[in-house]
Amino acid sequence: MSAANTINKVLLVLLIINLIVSAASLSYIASVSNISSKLDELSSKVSELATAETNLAKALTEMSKTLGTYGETISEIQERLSGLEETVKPKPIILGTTDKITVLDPAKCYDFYTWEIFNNIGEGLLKYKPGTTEIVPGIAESYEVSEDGKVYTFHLRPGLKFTDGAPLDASAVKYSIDRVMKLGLDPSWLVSAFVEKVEVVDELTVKFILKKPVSYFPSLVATVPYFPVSPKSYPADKTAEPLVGHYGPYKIKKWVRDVELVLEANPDYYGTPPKAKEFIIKFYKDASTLRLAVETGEIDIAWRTLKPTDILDLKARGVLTIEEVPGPYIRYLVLRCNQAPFNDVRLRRAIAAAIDRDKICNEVYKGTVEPLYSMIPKGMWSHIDAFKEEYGVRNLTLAKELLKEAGYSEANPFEFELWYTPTHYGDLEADVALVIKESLEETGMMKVTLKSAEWATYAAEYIAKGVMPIFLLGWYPDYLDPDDYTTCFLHSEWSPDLGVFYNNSKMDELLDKASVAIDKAERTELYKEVQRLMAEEAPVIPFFQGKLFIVFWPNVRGVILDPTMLLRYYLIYKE
Amino acid sequence: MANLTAPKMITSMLSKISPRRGVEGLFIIVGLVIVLTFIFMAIFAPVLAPYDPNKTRVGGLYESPNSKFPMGTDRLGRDILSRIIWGSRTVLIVTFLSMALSSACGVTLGLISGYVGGKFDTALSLFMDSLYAFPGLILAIALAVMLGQGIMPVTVSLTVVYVPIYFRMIRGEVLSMKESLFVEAAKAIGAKGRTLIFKYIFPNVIPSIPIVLSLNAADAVLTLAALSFLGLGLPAHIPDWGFDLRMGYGALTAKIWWPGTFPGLMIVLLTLGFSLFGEGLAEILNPKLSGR
Repeated sequence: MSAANTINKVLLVLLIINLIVSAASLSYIASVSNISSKLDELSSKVSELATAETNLAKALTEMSKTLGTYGETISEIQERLSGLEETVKPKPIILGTTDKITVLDPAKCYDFYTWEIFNNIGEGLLKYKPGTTEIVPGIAESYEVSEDGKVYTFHLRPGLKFTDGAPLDASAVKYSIDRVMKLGLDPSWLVSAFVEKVEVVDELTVKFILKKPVSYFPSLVATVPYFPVSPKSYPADKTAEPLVGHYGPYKIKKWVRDVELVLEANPDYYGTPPKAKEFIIKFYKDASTLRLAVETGEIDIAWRTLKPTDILDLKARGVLTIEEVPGPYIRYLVLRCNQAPFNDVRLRRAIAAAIDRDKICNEVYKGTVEPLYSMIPKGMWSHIDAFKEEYGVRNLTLAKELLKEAGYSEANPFEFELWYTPTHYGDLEADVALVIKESLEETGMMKVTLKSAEWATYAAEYIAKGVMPIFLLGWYPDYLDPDDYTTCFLHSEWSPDLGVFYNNSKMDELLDKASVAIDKAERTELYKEVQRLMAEEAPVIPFFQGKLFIVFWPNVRGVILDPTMLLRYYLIYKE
Repeated sequence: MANLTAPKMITSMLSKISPRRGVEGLFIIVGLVIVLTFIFMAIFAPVLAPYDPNKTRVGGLYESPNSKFPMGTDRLGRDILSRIIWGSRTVLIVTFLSMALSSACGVTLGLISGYVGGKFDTALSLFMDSLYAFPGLILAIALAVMLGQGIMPVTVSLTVVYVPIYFRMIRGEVLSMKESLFVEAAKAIGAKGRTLIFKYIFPNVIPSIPIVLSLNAADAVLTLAALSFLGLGLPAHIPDWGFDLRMGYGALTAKIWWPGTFPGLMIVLLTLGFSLFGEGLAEILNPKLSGR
């Protein structure tokens, strides 16, 4: 770059700066000379501003007034809205289940789920207090027991009527009980085995005369076969499934079998009305769809039965509330006591000692059930861990000793068939059988062949014929009393029905005594003795007790799970 | 159709499998490779399987596929690969046994019924048609429920399902063949009853058997899987793809994909193998059967 060129450029810049500075100073001088006139202008403008301000204030006050009236209308609208909400708010609760309603007739149904429905659309003379196994008055206000324990007199609440309009009085109660006994269907033994006859004393008083004193009769009266039904809707000589003719907190609004059941609050119910005016039950085909439905919010509550893996997975996600309680559902092995090989008590004891309960509970069921060491489940009065006291958690050495005593060795193992059914106790049954086989074979002195049969054959044919020397069964209680967990398996009169064929006069005596004794402390002692004797002789070997799981959204309230396993829909509501 | 003996037939069959046959040849070869692989797996299961298929807790519960367990472990901590290998033995035993039994029964009855004719034929045909009228799976389910669980009951129920297929096919061929010239000729030179059936008619119906056999095998694999999927198949201590698939499918919702996927894949593969082999064979041996 040449020097002349640079100088040229510098000069040009200086010139420009000069021009700007001079222009600025010129304009400054001009403005200063104008300043007085400008001041006048300014003062007039200020006064203008002041008047504008007062105008503005006026306008503002006016505006606030109108706003106030707006506010009133808004609050009115809000009130109306909340009123609307009040009427809409107790939204129907939707519950999903994989269970099914078998037949809507107290004289015929004998399954857990239909009983649950009846406990919501019906009520017994007595009922369980939710959350407990305590018996409280239901349709009957009060009752008395005669001194010999054979006559129960119930006093009904006045003015009740069934959903079909017929009065719920003493004659309706008699009609219902007679109907169950006359039809003589599956659950009728719960009535006919105990009740001699029912007498109407007056309109509101009814008398039950028993065949023999039964200390647990109040528990029986709370079961579904004892529920009064309307003579108008339920014919005396055949089963029926009317949508009316019950009496309970809810009544049936709509029922599409295996699809949905819609319940609505029964306005005639004597007690507190249900919290949700409408309660919908949706029936699902399988556990996977049920899980999806509760996850997507299609249903508010998923009740029985989700798969263990799904429960664990949902727990890990932490969005839904999951509650569990020990259930009264138990699983056990039956050993046929009147036939070789299991007429040998040593072999029965060997199996009781070798079975691995923890593995079944933790690995097959992933902790969704718990080990059980007695036929009377944990949580019920008089329960003791009888098998644990007798054998410990597991005792392979004892099992081996017993097998050796019975003449078996590693070279000459005890061979037998273990039976299970793949079509009744859920998908995991095969795994349970497999794990039992494995745990018994760990002794090195048993060789187990697994056999399976479809449920109908298994239950109806094979148990009675004695085809199966040792097999898996499960038990849901009929009524919540230790009697229901012992007599049926251990009493020589009943045990053949369940394939046990156990006959021990000492056991019979203990059970008979316990079933008539009135004093609970005495009964507790007797049942403890029963359990010890059972563990010693091992005609049946309990291995786990179910837990009940219920999965629901956090805004659902009033879910009460208790050992009756019955969910009270009328206590549930949504926030 | 020429009077072929079995060995001759096979050589002629093999001679037809050449690259020139194009797609059909490829079908046969791929199908054969798949089926042979499974047969190999079944025979050498004790050597090939890294673990005891029934031993629980060889690994953790639901371990995802890794170097120790190439296909992962299932809900009881059993090795899925070992279960697949032993499962191939189960499925092939049941399939081959039921194929052998059903073809033996079906072919013999078909030959006799077609040849004898008359009331005997009518009665037997009606009976077979009534069996055939049931959808295969439904019939198999009913029989499995009646007969109980285990290898033999399942085999028998599959056999009963497939007997009518052989019977109908063979009977039809015998009926048309009875009128043909060479049978008339044989009769003329004094051949009777047994000789006629087994020396003249039987060899000529043989070619259609392998095709139906291998197509039925594909169907049998599926039906067995369906039975076990429903829990009606085999007792728990026999490794079995269908049951594993069902139990694995249950874990899918918990994002555990491996216990269901592998058994399912094996069922598909083996079915595919048998079908490809059968279809290819049908094209080559008996073009008039194609399109069935």
